[in-house]
Amino acid sequence: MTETELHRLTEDGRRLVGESFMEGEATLTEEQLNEYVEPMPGNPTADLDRIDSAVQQVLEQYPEYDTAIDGALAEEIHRGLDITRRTAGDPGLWHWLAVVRYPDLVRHRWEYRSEEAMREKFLGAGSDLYSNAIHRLWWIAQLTSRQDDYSTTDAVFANQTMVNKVFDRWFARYQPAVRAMCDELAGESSRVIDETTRRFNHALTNVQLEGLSEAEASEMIEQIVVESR
Amino acid sequence: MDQEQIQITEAAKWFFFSGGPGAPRYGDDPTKHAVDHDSEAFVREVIQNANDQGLQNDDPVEVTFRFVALTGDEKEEFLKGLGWENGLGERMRSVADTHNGHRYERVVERVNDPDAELRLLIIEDRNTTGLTGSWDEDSNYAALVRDELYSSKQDDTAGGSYGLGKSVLWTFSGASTVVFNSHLAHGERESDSPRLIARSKFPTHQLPADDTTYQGAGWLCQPIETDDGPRPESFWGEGASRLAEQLHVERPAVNGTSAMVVEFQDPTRDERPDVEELAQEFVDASVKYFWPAIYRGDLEITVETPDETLTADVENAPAIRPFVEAYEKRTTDAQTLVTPGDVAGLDIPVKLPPRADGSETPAGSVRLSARLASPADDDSYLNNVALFRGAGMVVKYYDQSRVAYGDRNFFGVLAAGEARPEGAPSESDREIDRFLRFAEPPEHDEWESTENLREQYQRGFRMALDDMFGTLRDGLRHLISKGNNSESLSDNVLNRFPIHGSGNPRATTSPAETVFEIDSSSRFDGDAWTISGRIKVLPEEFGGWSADISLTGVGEDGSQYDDIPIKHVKIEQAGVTASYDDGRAHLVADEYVDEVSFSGRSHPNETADLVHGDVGATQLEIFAELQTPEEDQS
Repeated sequence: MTETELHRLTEDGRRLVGESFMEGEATLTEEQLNEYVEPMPGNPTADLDRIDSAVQQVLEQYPEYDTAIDGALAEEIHRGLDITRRTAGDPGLWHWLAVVRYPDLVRHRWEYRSEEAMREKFLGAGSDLYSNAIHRLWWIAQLTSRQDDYSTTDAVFANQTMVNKVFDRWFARYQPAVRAMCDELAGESSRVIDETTRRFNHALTNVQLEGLSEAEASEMIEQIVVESR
Repeated sequence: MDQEQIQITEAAKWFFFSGGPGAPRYGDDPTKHAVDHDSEAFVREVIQNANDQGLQNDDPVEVTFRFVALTGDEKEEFLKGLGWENGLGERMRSVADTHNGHRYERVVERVNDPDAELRLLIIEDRNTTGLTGSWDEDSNYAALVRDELYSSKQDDTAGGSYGLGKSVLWTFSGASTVVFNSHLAHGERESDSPRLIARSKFPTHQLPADDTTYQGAGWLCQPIETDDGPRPESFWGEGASRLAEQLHVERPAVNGTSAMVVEFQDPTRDERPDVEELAQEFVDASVKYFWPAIYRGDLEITVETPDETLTADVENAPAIRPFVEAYEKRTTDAQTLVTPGDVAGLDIPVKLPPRADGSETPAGSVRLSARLASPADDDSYLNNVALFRGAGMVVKYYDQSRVAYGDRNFFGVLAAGEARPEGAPSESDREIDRFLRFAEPPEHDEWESTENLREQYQRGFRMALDDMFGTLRDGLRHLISKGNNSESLSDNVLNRFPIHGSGNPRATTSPAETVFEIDSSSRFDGDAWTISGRIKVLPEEFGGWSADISLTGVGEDGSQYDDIPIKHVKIEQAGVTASYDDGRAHLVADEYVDEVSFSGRSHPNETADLVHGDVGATQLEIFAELQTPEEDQS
């Protein structure tokens, strides 16, 4: 395993990302990018070779815009990027990964529907879990895995309604609640997922989220799922 | 070239007034130094001039910037038409020899070097008035061709009111020479269109052959004798058309003006950027400052180079699009921003002093809206508020980063005057537009206390502006603050805005502000919500009123859910009827009821559980609307 030093795209570098680049009609040369790429503070490293080969495989084996790509890559990206949450909190890292390292993957997974939507896939990140194409996979895996066990992660990505409804909420930042939610909702219909997340979000105006253990959250959600069916 | 054209070119002369002994001498055109001179300022000034001359119809003003590069025979032919050997060249060489004239040396070199290219920029506007009027009257023509620092604009909403903007045309001409070709929309000689004349603005100079001191201004024209002495006269009709063609300034026979800047160069730059780069800068600047007019369909801007045509399109400008969205959705009822992309808005009351002639001005408001930023947005103008009025030009991007905090960044819009309403502007919108126009300094990049304001309005104009900006900052803070708990607002903010809901009763007196005093409370009593409240009408005269009462569940992250249905509402007073629609209570009161107290209850839910999402944070909303005797008003 070889470790590669991680970089970040500076804020000014975001302006390199134009319509033609996002559509895949233009590429950014190393010369253009150099000025806007800098090392991450603390010089973290990661096993990008592992991610490179996983991405290569996905590009070859999955049709364009296939949502199954998410499940196929999330674990590999999370294992390859063994970084702290602090490092992962820097949007510049995700911009570098999406714009410089894996733009083909972003375009392969996400159809270009509007400049605005595509911009989010390349340049989202920060507190919005659901935005940047790679950031989203890493964070969802981070929040749903248990050491080497990615079964919850796989279950989430098997159902895009779950990805949408759970990870677009604030409570998705709290690991015990999000794991409990994903486990309880596995196999439920879209309607139940929708109603359960809505009711849980409403109940959290009475119950302090961060005071819940995973078991307490599970008990609460289990009951809500029953009422939502 | 046929016989007739030879005659025209021969009749074309450069005419300069002689200053006479003791006449003031100008080292250079004084207006050239008055405004910032980067190409962004150029685009801003030039488009604003065209935008102000728009005709009163539903068609947009169209502006095309066209770059033309001339070499070889084309250059020769052009210089012949411009009268280079017929006076202009001699003048420029004389001027280049004076100590103020170094910039002209380079042009003379460029003309003489057969390999050097001459760069023309033509600004063609359509659906505008054109250069109407004559030399001896107060007219568009005289303002552009004769005067300095003098404005003749269409109406009170026009963007410019100083006459300074047009000077940029000469500032960006290496030869200080601009050619005008115009199709007139009205006036005595409308049918003689087109009309062509060129004007130079040199420093005061002398020719080697005589002792006369010439003023800097000169015209390529047909000089005529009048009772007041010689005057430069434009070329008209067929003759003007032919000369226009030779000078690359020909235009379709539609109303408007083509202005050609001879040897375009940016005075702030040493290098000569290529045309493609300039074209992109022009498009960017056009969208940056004119997106409101473009969005409203009042203005279309294109930039042409020998190789391509670019269009100023608000949809394809990531740095500007968030502002367009904030403006598009400005009339939203939302006053809180929950997720990135949300837009919320507030009315900012504006109270103007009476006009200088003593006539009262109606109180009104301007509209503030803000869009919560997402990390994916282009952040070039993050945490700025775009200020503009009816002319549709952004006067400035007002930096309010101090209001942003955490990840609560925003893009704000203050739509004032005729830019505020979606439909026809009210009397107060028109007055505010007029007021703000006079509040703009010559550069039109600020709303501040000016000499013009002092002339047009009585005392209090400064305070009116200060109040507007103060309320804007408070309002922005309110919109950006997290959550919708009105109790957390300072009294300062509460007193300024007509926000209803729980909290202490509050009243305001300005007619543009609150017309109701509303007091309410709600609590969950075990199986249902009980609500109570009081609505008091503040104005003395009104024609009846109505109020909608609703309960809405709210999530931890502020997202709103379906209404919680209200079962009944009880009212003590007579003259009020209550009805229910879709879980909301609707009260209608006649013109004799100026205060109502109500109490009510939601549909009970006996199994309601606090931890399973049946009951949680809930918002009681009261939306009241008052009818004035003449019209509806909220």
